[in-house]
Amino acid sequence: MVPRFRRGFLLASLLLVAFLLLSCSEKDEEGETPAATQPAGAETPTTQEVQGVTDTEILLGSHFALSQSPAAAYAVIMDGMRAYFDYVNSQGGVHGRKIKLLIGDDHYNPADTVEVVRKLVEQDGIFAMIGSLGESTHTTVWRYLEEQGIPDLFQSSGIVKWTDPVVKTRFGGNPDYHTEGKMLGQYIARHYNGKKLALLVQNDEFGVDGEAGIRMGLEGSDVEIVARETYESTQWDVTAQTQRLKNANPDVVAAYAIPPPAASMVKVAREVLDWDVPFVVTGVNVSEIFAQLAGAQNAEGMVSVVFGKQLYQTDDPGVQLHLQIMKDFGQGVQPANYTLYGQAMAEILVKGLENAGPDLTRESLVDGLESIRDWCCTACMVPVNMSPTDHRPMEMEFYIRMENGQWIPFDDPVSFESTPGKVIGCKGLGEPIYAGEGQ
Amino acid sequence: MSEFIQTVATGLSMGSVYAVVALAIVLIYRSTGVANFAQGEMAMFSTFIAWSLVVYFGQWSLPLDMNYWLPFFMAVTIAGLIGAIVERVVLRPVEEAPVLNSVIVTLGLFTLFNTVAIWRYGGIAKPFPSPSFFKGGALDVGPVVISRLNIGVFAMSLLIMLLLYLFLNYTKLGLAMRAAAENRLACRMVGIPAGRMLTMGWALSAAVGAVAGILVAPIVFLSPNMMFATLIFAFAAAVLGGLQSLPGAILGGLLLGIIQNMAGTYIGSEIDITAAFLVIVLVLLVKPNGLLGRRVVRRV
Amino acid sequence: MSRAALRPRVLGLILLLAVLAVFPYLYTWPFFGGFLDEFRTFQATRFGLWLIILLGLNLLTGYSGQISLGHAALVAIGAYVAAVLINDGFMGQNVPVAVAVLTAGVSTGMLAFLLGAPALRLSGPYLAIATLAMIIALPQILKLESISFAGQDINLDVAHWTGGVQGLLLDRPKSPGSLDGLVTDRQWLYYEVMVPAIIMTAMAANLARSRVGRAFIAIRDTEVGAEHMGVNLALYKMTAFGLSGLYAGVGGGLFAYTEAFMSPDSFEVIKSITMLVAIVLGGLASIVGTVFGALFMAFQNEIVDAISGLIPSIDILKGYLPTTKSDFERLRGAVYSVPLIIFIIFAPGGLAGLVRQVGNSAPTWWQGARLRVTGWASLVGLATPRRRTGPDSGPTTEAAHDPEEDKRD
Repeated sequence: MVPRFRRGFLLASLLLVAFLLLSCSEKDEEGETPAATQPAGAETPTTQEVQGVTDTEILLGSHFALSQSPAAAYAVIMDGMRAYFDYVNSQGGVHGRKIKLLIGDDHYNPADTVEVVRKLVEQDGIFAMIGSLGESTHTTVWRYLEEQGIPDLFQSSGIVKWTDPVVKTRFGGNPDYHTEGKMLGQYIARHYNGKKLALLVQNDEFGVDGEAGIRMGLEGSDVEIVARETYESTQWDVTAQTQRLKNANPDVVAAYAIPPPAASMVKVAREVLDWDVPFVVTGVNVSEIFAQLAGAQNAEGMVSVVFGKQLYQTDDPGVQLHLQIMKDFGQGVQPANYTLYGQAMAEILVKGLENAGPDLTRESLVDGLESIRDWCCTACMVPVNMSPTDHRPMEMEFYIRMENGQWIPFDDPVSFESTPGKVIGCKGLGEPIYAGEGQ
Repeated sequence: MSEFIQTVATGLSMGSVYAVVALAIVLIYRSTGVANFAQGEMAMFSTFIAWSLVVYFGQWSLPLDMNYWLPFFMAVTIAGLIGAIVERVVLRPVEEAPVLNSVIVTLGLFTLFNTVAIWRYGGIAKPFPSPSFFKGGALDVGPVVISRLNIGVFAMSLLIMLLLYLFLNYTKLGLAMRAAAENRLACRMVGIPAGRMLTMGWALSAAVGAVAGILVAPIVFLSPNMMFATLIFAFAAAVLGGLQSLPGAILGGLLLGIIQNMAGTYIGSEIDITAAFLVIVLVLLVKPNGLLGRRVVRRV
Repeated sequence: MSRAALRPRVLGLILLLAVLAVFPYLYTWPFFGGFLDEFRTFQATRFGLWLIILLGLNLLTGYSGQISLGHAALVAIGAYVAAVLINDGFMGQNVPVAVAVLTAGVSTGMLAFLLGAPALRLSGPYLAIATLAMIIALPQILKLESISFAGQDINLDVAHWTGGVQGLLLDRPKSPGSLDGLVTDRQWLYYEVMVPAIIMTAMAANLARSRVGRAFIAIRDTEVGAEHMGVNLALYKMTAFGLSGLYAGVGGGLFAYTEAFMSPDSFEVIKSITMLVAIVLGGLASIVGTVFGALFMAFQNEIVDAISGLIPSIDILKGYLPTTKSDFERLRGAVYSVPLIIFIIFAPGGLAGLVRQVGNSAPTWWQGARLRVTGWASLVGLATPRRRTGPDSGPTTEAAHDPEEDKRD
């Protein structure tokens, strides 16, 4: 037997040599899209076969946080999508194909997202991904999906890089955070010019992107930013940050934050600090829980932006349809603004599938989506416009204000559409509103 | 100067939240020698039970703020029962195994309670009421503004600590519990049913945890992940104060809150957690058993 | 060990190495194509990564008994070091992957070695919290841009190097041009990970049986005794940390390279805790146990899926019991944790412990299980626990078997 000491030395040097040999790996040249990896000896799919599509079924995939994370609150988006697909299936599907949605649970951990998505693509053989949740989680897989040519649709996240630059198979979901931030910034510039602004920002890509948008919206104005506080996404008690914001004595406070900390800020400011500063917050707070958490009186007068219908608008036929769909196909999940959003995404996909025609391939789906112009879904408040250079379905938002515990839209919608159309809003069951008509 | 005092005061408010959860952790460590990672989730689960009861009793308008206190006491009792069952069923079998195994079991419980809560109640945050005499705006104490609720949390944690201290040191049952934790064998030899004491230790700490959760829920909002961040801070606070010491838990919690807030105010809120934990590590270097911990003599 | 006893072991090892060597190509063979595919190669690569990472943790926590909840932080540091080197190069020069990964390993190892110093005085839960501090604080540090101290703005700009909240995107890894057609990118990555993994496993096995390993075990079992035997506590404790850092750094570096993306969220508290669970499940202080642990980390989703599939839908009391598909998705955590708890109760030595017991042909694992179950039985007053002897317990009298000894303070 080789003496222990020498054995260890031998092994260590083996390791070194192995490493050096393996360092022959080349760096990928920037900009080159590598061909999809085909293993030697495997079958190449014929042009007739498209992964995830059969004559009777379309297989879709998505990754959400279903457990072990505060982000599990947004899993209901997936329930809204699935309920709508089941509804469409009950009416015969699209061109005779039923839609099936598979969900992977990644616990909001980027390392897990890779496994989950690879399994969906390679073992389950999905046709497209839809509605994936999370900034850092999806960033681990977006290039993989791009390389494999899998359509990556309607992420439940609005960071700019999904659609900038435009990639053939990728379509964004929400209006991006720059757009929202710009709207908030422009509102502040209009109403608080020459005054002081304080910011509360969530310390991740969502918050930082949004803050950049706000600053873009403030460009050219005379608003002075006097304070900037951050918090980690798991910290929901922002008493300390609110206290510090108050110390800076701003005239208005803008927050790029999710509902619990935003509501905590409002509650603490009004109830504990006796501070009546006006608040401007991002659109993710436009949900029914916000007034409950912050206290309806405390939140009175707050301003935000919205692009979708809300659940309390029960006299709207689109909302009524959604409630009915959730009741019949929602598998017991409580409807919420988030399920409405999920349904909207599902509707846009179905429209794209319809446009693609019976011969469904990845290209025909992309073409089908890109050709949607001036179209309203039943759950939409603003029209969907897409083109080969515009892969964001909705780029129009309304300003919205909290009145008596409900978010009420005001003012005309603001459009950042890169493919402007003639429709400026939606009502009822997908009825477009043209410019010049009354709402 | 007044900014400094305000920073300290807000820090005390944050710290009282950590302190009250840290009490439960120290209690269970003292009575069973186990560091319970599921403490936060059990507290959260009990708070959800309290919430269901609040919703249920909300149909009637009860006097004396019973709409709050009735669910409070019921939930705390149920929490105690859950704690006892957990100890009997799940922890008892791993007592003789290496200590890491019981840590793993508590981690499994952590996931289990979290999952069941998400499934049963959904992941979306809910508001939770506070007792009437803590409601209302802030109190102005000199140059400083503190919310009534935070004062309430602080007062309650002191009250609980006092009650526990009296219980553990001056009642027969309390002394028996402490004895069972320190030397199970000797206990059995003098006729103390050590197993039952352990069960009671878990039940008590689960109850304290439930109280902590119910007190804290109005501030951080009720959701399956509400205790997640708080638990880690509470653990750090308990360790800072000394895992064997109940006053240490309170001291550790308050200190942690103050340091975190000071770091956030005077350095930057992007670094507050980092600074707080850095301080903890530094303190542990000087006092490896925590600020108020006893030096443990290890027999060879 | 006699030559006769050695032969099957050596043969087994050779067979295993042979399988690992051709694994990425196996699925093209007729028989294996049925259950292997390219996705398995990816999973095998993942397994290799986790193996390296968990070896480090087991050396620290299993062999030398120092509980570390911050291992994920070391992995993250290694990953970022490698990522920055691969991305930005060093002083204008391109850094080849292997050098980047090795540098990551060595630097993380040195950092961990130094971090071991404060750990000298701490033990048990106190050490756990101190190591937890690493993983809690790291995300904030990685995202840091500037702080102001006493009115002055200090521009640390860590975020410039680490990509801040957006994380670091690397170029996709590719196989060398000269081997095109022989290996795909994914197969190449498999080898890039598996070869270091095998070698580092051999190193760890060697280490465990060497003087260093024996010192670790001595420290874990009795610190005072170890000191009396001449073991330099401080040096070996810090070495344990350093080694865990080395493994974590290499594993993390390879992780960053294969994933081509690192974010502050990739390795966080829950991952750290899961890693600890993995090595306990697999078996502490055991190389085979670490292999099991790595299998667990790589395949936990599949295992949970498989168990989920076995549970039927019960249609009673909808809302109180799981009935729908949506329910089952949300209850995955329960499917994960309940078997975990049951397993650890019945197999305290982890999977490796089970294997060992079965290997010893002692029927006592069932007796051991009975001991656990009497805990249940006492709930209904049926049985009181009585301790029996088994291959793992020491002295036979009850008085001498003091459970307190198992608990470190």
